Amino acid sequence: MPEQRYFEDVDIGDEWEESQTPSSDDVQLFLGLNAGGSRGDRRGPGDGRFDSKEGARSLGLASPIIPGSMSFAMMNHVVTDWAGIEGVMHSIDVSYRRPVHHDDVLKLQVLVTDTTDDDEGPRVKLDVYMENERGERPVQGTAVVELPHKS
Amino acid sequence: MTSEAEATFEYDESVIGVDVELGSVEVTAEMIADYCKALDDSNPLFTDGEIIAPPGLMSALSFGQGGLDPNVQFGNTTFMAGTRLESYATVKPGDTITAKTSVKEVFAKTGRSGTMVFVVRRTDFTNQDDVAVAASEASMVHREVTSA
Repeated sequence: MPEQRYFEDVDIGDEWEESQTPSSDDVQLFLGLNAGGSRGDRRGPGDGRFDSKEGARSLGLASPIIPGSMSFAMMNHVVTDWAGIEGVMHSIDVSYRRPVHHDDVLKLQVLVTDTTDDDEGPRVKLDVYMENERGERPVQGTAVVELPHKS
Repeated sequence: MTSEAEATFEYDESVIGVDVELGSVEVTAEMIADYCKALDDSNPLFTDGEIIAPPGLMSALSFGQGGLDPNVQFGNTTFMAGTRLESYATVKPGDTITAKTSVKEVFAKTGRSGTMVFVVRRTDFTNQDDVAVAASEASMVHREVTSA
């Protein structure tokens, strides 16, 4: 995780990235977050797409995929890391273009596209991308973050 | 109802805009720790001392049911198409989050890979003090796929 980023230090065009390789164990842990008790089970649509080769193949997929909600969580992760502990993520909006498979080597990327400092506070608009080792971008979108001023 | 745009799918229009309370979940420190472990997230805001919940946790919670079903008659499977999350307030361990959801719209789109039908749901999250903490819009796509 980087050091605290301040609004004054950010320029349009700045880029930053971190990497992630979600394993099958990570997927199972994510799916089981609050699956216990009377809260129900969120292990997906029950077709095996998240945990079996056969289930994935029945849907035209080469291997099991990670849930969209986990891809979304990874995009949240890169944005909150970029913003630092004093930054606040106000919104994030992503679209899922391609499946993300277990053990894909992923780059999570942030690009600064705009900065504003008005009644709403010092805000930064970001493009966010997930890129796999095949050069595809299975997930992309935008986010709005508020950063602190240097005092 | 049959879509005028495509005339190839049907769905239950009566569920559009009808709010359904999905239930409540208490956010626990263990839940936050598991979320961070699954994502290899070591941000001290979520892992050290008086922690708060990562904003993305709202979209990962299960409330035990999924809201009203527009019963889209199209394709043979669904995938997530997109998610938007707005965060309004901090969530901490011990907070009880209640979710209310509705189907916002159903529409068809035809592109290079054929026709797909999208279902967009809005979900509002409030805490035990009835303070809005987040809202999300998630779209699912219904499509026809063939086995690999």
